[in-house]
Amino acid sequence: MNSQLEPVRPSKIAAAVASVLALGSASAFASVSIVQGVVGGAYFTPPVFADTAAASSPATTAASVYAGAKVCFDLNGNGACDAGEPFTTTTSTGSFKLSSSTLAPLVAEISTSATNNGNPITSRSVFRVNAAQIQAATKSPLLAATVNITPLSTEVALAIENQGLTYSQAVANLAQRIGVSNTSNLLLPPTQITSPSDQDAVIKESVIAQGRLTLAAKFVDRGDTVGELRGNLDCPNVASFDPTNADGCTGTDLDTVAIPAAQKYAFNLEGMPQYDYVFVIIEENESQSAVVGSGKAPYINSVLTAGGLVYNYFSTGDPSEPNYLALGGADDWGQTGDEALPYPAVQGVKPNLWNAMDAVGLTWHVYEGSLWPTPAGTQQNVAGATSWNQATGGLWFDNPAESSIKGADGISYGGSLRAVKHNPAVWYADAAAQPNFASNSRSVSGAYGSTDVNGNAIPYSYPSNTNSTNGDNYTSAGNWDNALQAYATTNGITSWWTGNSQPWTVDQFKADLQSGNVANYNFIVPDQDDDMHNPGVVPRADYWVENIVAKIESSAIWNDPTKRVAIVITFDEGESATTACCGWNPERSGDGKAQLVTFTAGGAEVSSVSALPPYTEAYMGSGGATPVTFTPPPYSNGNHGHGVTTFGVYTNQIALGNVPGGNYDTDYYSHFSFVRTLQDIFGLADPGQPGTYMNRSKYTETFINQNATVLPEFAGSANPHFDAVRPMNHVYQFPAGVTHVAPAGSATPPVTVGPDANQNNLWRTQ
Amino acid sequence: MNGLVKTVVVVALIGSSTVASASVFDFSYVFADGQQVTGDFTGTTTNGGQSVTNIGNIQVQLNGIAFAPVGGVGNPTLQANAWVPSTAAFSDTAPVTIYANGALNNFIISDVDAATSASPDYEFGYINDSTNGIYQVVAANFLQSDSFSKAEGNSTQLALDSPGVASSWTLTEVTAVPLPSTLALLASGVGLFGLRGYRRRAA
Repeated sequence: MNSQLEPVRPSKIAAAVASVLALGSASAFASVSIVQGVVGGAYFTPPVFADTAAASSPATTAASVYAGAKVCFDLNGNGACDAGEPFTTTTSTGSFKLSSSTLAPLVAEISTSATNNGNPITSRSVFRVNAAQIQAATKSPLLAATVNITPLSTEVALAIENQGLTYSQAVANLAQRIGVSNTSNLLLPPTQITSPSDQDAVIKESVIAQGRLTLAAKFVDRGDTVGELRGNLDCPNVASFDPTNADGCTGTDLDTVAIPAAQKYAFNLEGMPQYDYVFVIIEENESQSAVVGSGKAPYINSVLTAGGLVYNYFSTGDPSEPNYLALGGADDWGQTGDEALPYPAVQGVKPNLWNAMDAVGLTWHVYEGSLWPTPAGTQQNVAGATSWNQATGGLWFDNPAESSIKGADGISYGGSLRAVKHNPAVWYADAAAQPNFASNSRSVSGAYGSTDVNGNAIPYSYPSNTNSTNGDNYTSAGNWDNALQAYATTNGITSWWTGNSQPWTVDQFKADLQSGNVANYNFIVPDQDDDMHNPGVVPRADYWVENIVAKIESSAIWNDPTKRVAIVITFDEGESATTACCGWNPERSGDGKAQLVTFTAGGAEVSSVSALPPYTEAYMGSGGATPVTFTPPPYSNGNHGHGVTTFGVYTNQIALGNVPGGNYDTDYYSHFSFVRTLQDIFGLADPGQPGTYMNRSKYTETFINQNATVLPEFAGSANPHFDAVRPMNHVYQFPAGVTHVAPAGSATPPVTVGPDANQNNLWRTQ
Repeated sequence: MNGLVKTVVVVALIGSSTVASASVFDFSYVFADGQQVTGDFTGTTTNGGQSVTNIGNIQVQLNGIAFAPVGGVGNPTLQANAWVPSTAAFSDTAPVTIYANGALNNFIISDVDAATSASPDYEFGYINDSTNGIYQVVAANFLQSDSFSKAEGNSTQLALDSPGVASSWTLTEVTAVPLPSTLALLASGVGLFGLRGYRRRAA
């Protein structure tokens, strides 16, 4: 045996392959390729939703492999296994071996004939591998490379294709974003990951991605167009499409898409990018004009200036309660006042954001201020409360000891301080009955003297904060957070929600930010002294918001450029005109008129149409083409919106300099638009199937057009553009010649004529 | 002229004396999924008969289908290249040794110089590289795979194992044959005798 080896020299093959790979990922390369691996992911069992806890059950997940999936070298880069492309089929263990005379991306077509951990697949999807991943795993093209095809390998491919990242950058970014500590675990099938934490992270992301990838396959199979997928809701190629609309399809809008583009749009539904974390800070009862530009709210204005402002954001009800219901599920279910409700009010498994998040493997928390410390074993703050006081209005949980709690200023904790009605989740019976409901209901503090998650003092610069006699002073009302903490300590209360051993803390929000345990969707509710509800406390609320935002800004997730984080500052309702918009038409309270904002072609509001009785409508259901009977809730008292209020978005993508701030959008939006937007951001619905959007958030122009004959509430609208729900993507362009002015109650926005090309999608990330 | 011929004869005799033997060897490898590579080559036994060098005249069949152009037209020349763990690459200068103990193999047989080409039509590789953690036996007929794939996938033209103990590998010496150098020596000797006879007759 000759032990003498030749001198080391660079691999001529590696150099050749690298040179052709640099040309792109969609083309075939002058190199053979041999691959082996596993098609793997996660098997997700959705929760069972019911009005009772006994009939409910949580979601479960498991690492999984796909048997019977068709794997091919995608020689033409169209994301499909075409005739003539080398292919094979995965074994019962999900494994495959495949060779090709030319190196090309890999595709795994997971059809309904395949199985996921032995379970049937009801809707097909496609996983992919970029050629760069194969090259990175290749020691020599003539030897087999181990390459697994997973939802996460598809995300890496999308990042390479659409973000201009190298393979190693895409892997590092995704690993960091989802919290995988060992990047070599990222692209393993979860069944092969031995690190429990990495496996959990990969499984969770796999569930999320699989949902989006299934949606992408639907886009292709239906022949969806670019216009539809980018969120131009006037663009669908349907018979009812009105070509005279100025915001009609342009460019490639009527082109259909293949899998790679469809997958890009599936992570950017209706032009709304996927966000990892959304924080909604909800304030109360102020018109936009009372906040935007007001010296009493300097911090909120600074955030709106740094981020972006929606100039025409409408509440959907008056008073508060219908708005919170709408924020939880895009409908008020007939509720028109703050009167006592049965608890929970919305029963019968009605679609809502909370269940929708659970249904796709995402998480949610509602953080409430001045939350009463709850002894272990009880849930008096949340579902199952025994001190629920319906007789006195049904809005608050009473506690016999609450009068003993006094702030430093001697003011007692008020029985009406914490408004349960401001929790948009608690009213949905099938959300409250979920096993995770109690642990999702958490505390938040914006107390004076707070520190951020790193222990640094949060400065507050409002000039009147030393004037204790000024009604606008943030110290002019009680501050109970420390007193509540002391009460908990004195009474040995160490756990404030049932079944959770975590020590009670007055500011679980801060603790969660420190640990990275915040949810994907976080709804943050101040008490009624911190939410501008009580008169004269705008500066106090401004201070409270500063505390909350400062904590988020100091967190690791906010400062991580791979994570997308958005802060929304908004209000439940305005305080001015009784106007509403955007797919909402219950009658005005007492005036016998339907509350439909109808505009002339010039943008002026015209009279409303008559009130409507309850009716049954046939709408384009989840199938998108088959009319399905849908009964909207009756409105015995009528309702109306409460004018324009503040809606601002500030993202870490702006803070980190990835996109510019200082944006504005004068399109018309409402709580329903926001709920639809959240469904897009979190991938909860299918833009091609209107019925998959919950409740009134499905009332887009497309939906109205498709269902005009059975939607009499829109019969009197001169311009349905103004009456439709739209995602907050600023794709809609006002017709040429139309002067776009703000309605009463709004701050002074730029007046635009025709398409507002200088405005932006406030949520954009690129 | 006479001196040059004598010199050639001497060198040939020395070369012949240093070669243990030259033979035809049959080999086979049965993959875990039942697929099989068979073939033969000529070579020289070394290492007490445990290995073969000077590989030549290679023939390979994957599942009975010869490494040859589709339709059987033409005869490709197959060559062997050594896999060099220290460079994690195939070499076109390092000597190729094929072992009876498959766990010692690090070679590839293909229709290209595997050190410089990434586009063979056929290949049979047998790698045990502890340095880079590569343990695989691979046989692929890329021409057949593309045509097969249209109808039934290419699994029948790709065989791939990650062997631990290569119990399914066989390397058998079939028959000893004269090596080319030996044949040259023989021819030279015959010629020398002929030349001497011719000179005698001429004298």
